[in-house]
Amino acid sequence: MLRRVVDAALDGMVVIDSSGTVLLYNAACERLFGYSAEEVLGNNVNLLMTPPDRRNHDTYIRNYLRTGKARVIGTGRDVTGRHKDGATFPIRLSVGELHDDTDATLFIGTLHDLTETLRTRARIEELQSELMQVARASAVGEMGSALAHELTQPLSAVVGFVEASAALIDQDGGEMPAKVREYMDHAVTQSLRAGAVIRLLREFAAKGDTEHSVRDINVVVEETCRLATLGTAADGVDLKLDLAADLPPVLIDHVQIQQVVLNLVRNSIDALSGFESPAITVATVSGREEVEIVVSDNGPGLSSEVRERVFEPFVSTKPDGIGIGLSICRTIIEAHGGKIAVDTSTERGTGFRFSVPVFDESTG
Amino acid sequence: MNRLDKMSGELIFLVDDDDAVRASLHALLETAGYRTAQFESGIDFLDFPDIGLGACALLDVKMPGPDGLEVQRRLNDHGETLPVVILTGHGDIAMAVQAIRAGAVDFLEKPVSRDQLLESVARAIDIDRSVRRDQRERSEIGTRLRALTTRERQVLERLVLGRTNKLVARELGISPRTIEVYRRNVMVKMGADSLSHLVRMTFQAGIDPDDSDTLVLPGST
Repeated sequence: MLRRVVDAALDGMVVIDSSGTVLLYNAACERLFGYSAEEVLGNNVNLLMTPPDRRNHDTYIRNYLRTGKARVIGTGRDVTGRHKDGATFPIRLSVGELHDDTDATLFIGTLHDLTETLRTRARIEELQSELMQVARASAVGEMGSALAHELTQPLSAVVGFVEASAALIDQDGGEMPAKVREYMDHAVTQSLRAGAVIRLLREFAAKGDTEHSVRDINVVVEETCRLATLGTAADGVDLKLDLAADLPPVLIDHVQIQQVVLNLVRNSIDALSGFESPAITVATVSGREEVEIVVSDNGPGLSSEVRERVFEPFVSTKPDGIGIGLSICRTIIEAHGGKIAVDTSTERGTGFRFSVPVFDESTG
Repeated sequence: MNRLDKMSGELIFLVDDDDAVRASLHALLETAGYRTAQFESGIDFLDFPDIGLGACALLDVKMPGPDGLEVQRRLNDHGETLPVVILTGHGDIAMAVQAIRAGAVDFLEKPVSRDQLLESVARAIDIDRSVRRDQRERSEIGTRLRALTTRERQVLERLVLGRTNKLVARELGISPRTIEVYRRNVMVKMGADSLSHLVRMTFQAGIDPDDSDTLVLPGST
């Protein structure tokens, strides 16, 4: 019976004696390492290891028996295993100590394959860095675009005033040193050149590569919420998903839409810091030609003057915010042909709702 | 706010929320002999009771409240024929297409050179003139149409459809010779040099002779 239990275990189990000789090697281990029990039993366990552990394992045991100082025993650590075919893979190893009938010291090791765990973690990291990159590019684009507008206005006034002055001098019969008139033309030419540079900058900023595909918005929202709640800032925040069933597929650049959801949820998390029983709800709602996503929290809410200007660049309620996030959200949503607005239906806290168009099979 | 300048040129409306931009546009237009009335928002401008006095409007796209394109749309909705030039510091192709489709004379990106601005304004003023001339002529044709007798109108209706004197005579049950008299009277009263001129005028008055066999001209019941 005990043998069957050991073999049914999903994690690998190995028992060795104080010389490192393998006494027990279960079925999960056979799958993990590719060696059969016959090949391993009676041999040194370092067969399953990679250098330097492979070389030093006997010494580890001797040191432990002499000093009683444990390296892995009683706890666990991540180590590298070696497959029969030479491939290496990550393992979480936990080791316990036991004594047989003759009171000889034995060690039992439990081995958990970390390959999948690490792959998932890598995928999340990849997603995060992808989002970060898009966020950074969008922020640069948004800043560029806002700056372009702020610079164009005074520049256009400069051109107007200088050209008007030049026209007045001409009309008065040129009662000015000829050089002055010439320099004014230079001033205009250079101002127009600056205008052309700003225009280029804005066009460059506007040219984000987008990649639209047909998606299930619920999956996108769910995935993003998982990302948004990573990290300690979200600790204790109750994040609820209220996803409508049977939503039609949407045509979106999913990384961009993820960024919008992430932005809204992170804003809520920031706003909730220091508040009692913080909660955020992310809901999807079906409309006729679009799907709506609503992100709401039970935080302090927005003052009416902030609410009016909240999507404008450089407006922020955060002490260290530059106020570009919501402006980016608006740019992204409008580029998708959707709308984003402060949700005024909530009585307390802050809510944002945005829409993305449903994928229309006849045109898509 | 608005300021009418005491000069003789055409009146140009300037709608832009940026004081300096407005002042510089005014300076430029003033050197070309135009008068301006300035507004710092679309609402102020749409509230102005004498929009009919202007020859064109320069509208900035990005303003608080209704933006330039929205102001343009509302002018259209109100039946204003005022030509519009859109100015933007922030334009894209889609916006330009939208503005031009809605009837904007031009779509200029800031900063605008004097030559560019004056050229667009001149074009807008030309359009305003021809629109006004057309409106005048139309109302004049309407007056002349109303001066025709019932019989003369019946003859006119059939002539512009291309019917011969003989055919018209048969339809109205009078002699071709009498039709000839009516026809001459119609030509004189309408001030037409030829039949084709007469047809052109009825078109201009907004009547389509292909629409039905018997025309309903203004003034006939």
